[in-house]
Amino acid sequence: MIIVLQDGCDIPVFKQIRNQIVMGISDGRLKPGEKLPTVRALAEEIGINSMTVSKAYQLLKQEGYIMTDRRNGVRVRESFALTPGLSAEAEQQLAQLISEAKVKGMPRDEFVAIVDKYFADRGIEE
Amino acid sequence: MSVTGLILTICLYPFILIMYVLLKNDAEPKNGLYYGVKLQKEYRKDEAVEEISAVYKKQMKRCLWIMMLAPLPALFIPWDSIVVAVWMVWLTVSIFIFFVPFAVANRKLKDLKEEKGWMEAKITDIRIEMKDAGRIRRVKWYHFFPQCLISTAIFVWTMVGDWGNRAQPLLIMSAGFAGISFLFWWLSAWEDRKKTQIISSDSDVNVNYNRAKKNQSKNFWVACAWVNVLYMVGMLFSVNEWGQFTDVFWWVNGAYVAVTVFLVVWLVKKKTALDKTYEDRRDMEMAEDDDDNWIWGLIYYNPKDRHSMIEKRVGIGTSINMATPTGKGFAIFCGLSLLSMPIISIWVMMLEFTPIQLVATQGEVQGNHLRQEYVIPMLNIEDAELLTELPKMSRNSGTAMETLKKGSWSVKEEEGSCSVFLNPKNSLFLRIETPSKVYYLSGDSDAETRTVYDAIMMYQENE
Repeated sequence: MIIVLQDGCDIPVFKQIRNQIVMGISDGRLKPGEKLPTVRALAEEIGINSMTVSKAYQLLKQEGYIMTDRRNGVRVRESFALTPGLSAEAEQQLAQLISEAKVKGMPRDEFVAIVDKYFADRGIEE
Repeated sequence: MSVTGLILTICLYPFILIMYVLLKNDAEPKNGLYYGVKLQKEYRKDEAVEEISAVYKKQMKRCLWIMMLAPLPALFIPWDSIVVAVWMVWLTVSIFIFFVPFAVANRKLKDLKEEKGWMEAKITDIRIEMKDAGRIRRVKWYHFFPQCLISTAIFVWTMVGDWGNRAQPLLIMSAGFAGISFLFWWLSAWEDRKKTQIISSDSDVNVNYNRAKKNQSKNFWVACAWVNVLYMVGMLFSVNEWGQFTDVFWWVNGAYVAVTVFLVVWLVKKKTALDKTYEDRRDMEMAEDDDDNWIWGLIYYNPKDRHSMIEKRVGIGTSINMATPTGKGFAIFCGLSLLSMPIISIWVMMLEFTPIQLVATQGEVQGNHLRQEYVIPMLNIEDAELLTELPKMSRNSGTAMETLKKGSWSVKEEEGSCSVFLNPKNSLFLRIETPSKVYYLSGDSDAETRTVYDAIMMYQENE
């Protein structure tokens, strides 16, 4: 899987790594049980401090997306705990997006169509 | 024809051809880049772009001819120091000259891109291949261990073995070339750790492409290390019992240079073939329009990138990020190396053109050349002899020129090393024996040598 990090972006690098891995899991580019690179290897590949990658992996582990064990390294979880609803942070981000769409005059249907498209891309039909 | 000139020609001449081939290859459009500028395919057919390309090719050919012809007159110069200076200047110019047309083309194309509004939206995305990150490694310890082991064994053998007069030249050379074997190992391992280059949206393609590329580099360095070992073996047979280099030495050197050139050409061809093989699977061009991070399209300077070694943006091989501490250290090292060339040339010229001076004064014999080299108290002189012919001698350390021999030398039928300070073009030489050392001396002229000899004789008679 190819991850894309934005240089000079407001979002911290560890958060960008976390977001990219979550997107990869969501759209199937990262399969359940798939092995992820070690902290050191990924840090070397990106050219950043290994603490940054470690922070991203810690976050993903806390959120239940990945698991680590001494023998197999870092892996995507086979199954995820189903927690209905969005986190408070995600809900705030959604509210922000809807507000921007409203200010720019985007009709509700158009916004919902984009949301539907992203659901469809991830294999979730209406 | 000067022997020094001939040696330098054999060793350095292929360098210009390597530079020409590599830089010409760098100018080929690749990975969305043309002359080191990110340029979309459709713009490459523009008349102004083709004009820049035509001028570049013409300038490259002109540079090649100039550099090929320039050093040839040096073959007929009798003074070694001038020959060395000519080749040092030639080498310095050769390092840079082929980059000039490229830098000019890069500058012109950058300006044209801006003028015509061919600027793409600045994308500053950094793409990272997660698959097998940090695991695409081709260099294993056992690839270089045998070469390093043999090289070290040869070095140790020249150090502890009974090599007689051959010991010193062999020891110096084996130490240097054993070091080169380890250097190849280190360079190979360093190159192996480069970031995965992304050419496709398919991770398997990226992994296979990078694995193949690293494999080629590894094979190149392994072959270089073996050639180095063979050179060391050849070197053992290239010094005679007087510690002098025989004809075998020149053949071994010639073969070493020829095989190295062959390996470089082989690597370029292999990498070009690999790129061609993957051409139809390449669906992602380089994301970053980071023209601004490349000075003249050649030197990478990006303080935001922590990688010291990166894939060359154009051409084959690697580039150093000059913004990192390693890059800065490398730049300083290169600067000092280049600076050393004119300094060495001036020093060699001073050595050759400053006449030696031998004087007898206040109960001492003094040998002066740029500084006071020898002071022999006449009281210590056990025997002094005037020679009309020099015995066979070979240098252990010091200087050997057409008009100057000085330093520590092994002399036929003398025990241990002797101190030599003379002009071999003269007809009279002085052999002085002291309790601790034997000296072979001369002044700048035969008259000067004879005056010193007479002074020693007079001193001994008075005593």
